[in-house]
Amino acid sequence: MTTALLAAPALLLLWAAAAHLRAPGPLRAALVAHGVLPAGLHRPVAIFLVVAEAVVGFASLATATAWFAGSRPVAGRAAALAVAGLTLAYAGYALLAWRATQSIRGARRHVPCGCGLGNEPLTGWHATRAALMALAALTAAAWPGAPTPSGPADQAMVLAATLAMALLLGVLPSARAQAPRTAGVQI
Amino acid sequence: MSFTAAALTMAWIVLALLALVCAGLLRMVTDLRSRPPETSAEGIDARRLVGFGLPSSGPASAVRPPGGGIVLFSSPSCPTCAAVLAEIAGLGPRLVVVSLGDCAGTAAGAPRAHCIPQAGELFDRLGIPAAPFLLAVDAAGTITSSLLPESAAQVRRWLEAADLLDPAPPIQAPEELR
Repeated sequence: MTTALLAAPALLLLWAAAAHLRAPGPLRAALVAHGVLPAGLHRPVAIFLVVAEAVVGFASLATATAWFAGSRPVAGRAAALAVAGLTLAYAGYALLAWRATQSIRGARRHVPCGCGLGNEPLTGWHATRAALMALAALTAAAWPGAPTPSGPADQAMVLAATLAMALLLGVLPSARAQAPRTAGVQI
Repeated sequence: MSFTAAALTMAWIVLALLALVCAGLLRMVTDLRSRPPETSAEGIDARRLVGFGLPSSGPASAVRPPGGGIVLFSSPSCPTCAAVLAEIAGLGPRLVVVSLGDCAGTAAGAPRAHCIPQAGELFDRLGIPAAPFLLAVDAAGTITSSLLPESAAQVRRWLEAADLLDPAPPIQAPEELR
């Protein structure tokens, strides 16, 4: 069942990488808006993030697929740890950026997340999501591929769990975001 | 750990995530339901005028109740308008009625109110979405509140909130200004 715990964050990383590749502008704009990184680092960090998401996402999805099929690749635990490391870094950055943008958000400015999984304003739920992804990947690294699905019903359960977890983690910050209010209108 | 036990654990984790997502969505729906409906028409939305001042000169200045009061945007063909007018008729000269047609209904229902007939242009200029529509205006001419009423009881609650139930004599009657 830990297959699902690795496959779900892997799918989200690939989803984010695809979104950033399709439209790289919003990620760079978000990094600028967060105001955490020095000015010269925005472009290289944006490029690094897309490459890291694509490579780690692909490697971990391949690992999860191998676990699903019953094999135990040597680098499987490393792939899970890479996902955990990347998402933990995201969680830390999201927390820093969220705190840095608190005063700006007080002025009702929209500070995008730039995570490629929606365009809702950056909140603490982005850090929470990244932390949950890291927790899932760490669990998968601790018990790689165990327990193994033994039949079609078990395999269907793993696939359903993967999709459900990926979808729910993907929409979590959007669902928890505050609906923007219109100031000064009374009816 | 057996596969079944792992699957059950996983199911509870997914359920917890689902509960978080559903709770967030429900709160968002509640927020959206408590928000006034947006008009899709281009131009000014009258509900966005709260906080702005009515002009003291020009065509729109005619709707400004001297000393503050209520502006009712009305139509002779609308039965709700008559019910709303009956509810606020006690305001006397603090009431300005802006009518899409004539002022016969206002003269009968609220004889002390100031009525502006054939004022379709004012509806457009101020972005009034429908009749009846109410604006509360303070002594400085600032729009303090607005209401698209659905019932007379709703108007009464709104008047209570706007602290306008107790009609006070105006500083100047509209006729004196003109």
